[in-house]
Amino acid sequence: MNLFAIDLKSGSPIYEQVLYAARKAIISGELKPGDAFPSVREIAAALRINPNTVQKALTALKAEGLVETLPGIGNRVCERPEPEVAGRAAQLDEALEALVLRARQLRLAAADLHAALQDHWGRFND
Amino acid sequence: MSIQFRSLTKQYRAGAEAVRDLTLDIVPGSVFALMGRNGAGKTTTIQLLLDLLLPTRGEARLFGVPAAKLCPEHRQRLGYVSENQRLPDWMRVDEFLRFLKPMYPAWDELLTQRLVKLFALPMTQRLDRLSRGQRMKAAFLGALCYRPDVLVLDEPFSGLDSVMRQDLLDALIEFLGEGERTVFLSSHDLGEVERLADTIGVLDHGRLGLHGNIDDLLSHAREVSFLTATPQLPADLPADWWNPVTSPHGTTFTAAVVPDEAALAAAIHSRWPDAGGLTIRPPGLSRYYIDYLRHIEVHPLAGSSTALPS
Repeated sequence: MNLFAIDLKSGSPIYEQVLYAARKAIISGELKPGDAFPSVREIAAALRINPNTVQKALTALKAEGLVETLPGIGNRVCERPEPEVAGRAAQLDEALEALVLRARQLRLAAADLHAALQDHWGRFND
Repeated sequence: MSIQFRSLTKQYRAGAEAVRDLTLDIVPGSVFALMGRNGAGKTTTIQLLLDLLLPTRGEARLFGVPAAKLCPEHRQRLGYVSENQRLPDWMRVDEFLRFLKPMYPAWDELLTQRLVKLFALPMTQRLDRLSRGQRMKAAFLGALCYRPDVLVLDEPFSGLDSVMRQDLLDALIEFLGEGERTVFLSSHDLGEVERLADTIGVLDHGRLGLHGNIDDLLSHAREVSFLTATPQLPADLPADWWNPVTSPHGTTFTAAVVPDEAALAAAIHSRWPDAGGLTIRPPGLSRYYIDYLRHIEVHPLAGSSTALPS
């Protein structure tokens, strides 16, 4: 996913869309550790959105350890340390709960959810 | 504070109050969008802010000074563009720019040339021969070329085609990226507000209703939809479920303050035991705003203004 090519939709908050696109670009490996990450002004101009919104998304990405700002150089995608084994599942707990809740709202069977998970898992090339 | 309103009230002769007791601080460096339906008091508020109208009570302050006391030094740091901008129509575009330049010490000739190119303005055309969109661009040029600290825009996109809007948006985003700029705009255009603004305030019959940071407001809210065979809405719906509408194609509303999605889902299932295909997600600004406007049609604003979430 090219961060500059995301198509902003009016149906959900712009901040969430930018954050989601950036996370996806990094986690999918499209942007690799050490790659330059675009500046606030570049992203704001390309997406035609308020630089404050982009700055906020960048702050969130930094807090998540996905992007770092090097003085005099600019933004860069971080090397990601392996999360401690014990902490890994716990980090996903909230997201998993939301996913299961949503699946139950839609009256999906557990097997359907497993199949959908497998499908999405396979879309990322490690 | 670059813009402040204190109990600002305007009553036109023998009419209802166009602006009622408006008290609000605009955070420096933010883009504030004043929204509301036609006749809600948006343009009156802007005219009071710029001392184009006298308040009946209270005051608007710019750069810490009451609007009535703004001096030329303040005006040099202030830009204003309105959908009904009065321009010196007899001037050509190049004459208009030469006319403005000496009034603003911070006028940037390189920026001017860049914007002229971006806007593709015919420099030797008289202002009264320009199309509506080109006139707006000329007005924008006259307000952006000295990089004002505060930019006030009254319905800047109204009546413009998509290409014009995109050009203006590009110029504004660049302007915002250059430093701490405060923008106060009134607009009906949800698409542009969503891209430009970080804070909104909604006026209704002159009163300030919902206001706050867009991301905060939206992150607390959820757009809800589901299917049910129950044709009637239950009587005991919470007051912050805005604009509940039910039809055979689905029931929808915006839940304004949602601390917990699981509790919201439970509250829905307790009222509609047969609810199916339940979707709960953060709303976009347009859905949120329109459901709010419908909500206050049915539940008019009380005496004082409210901020959500608390």
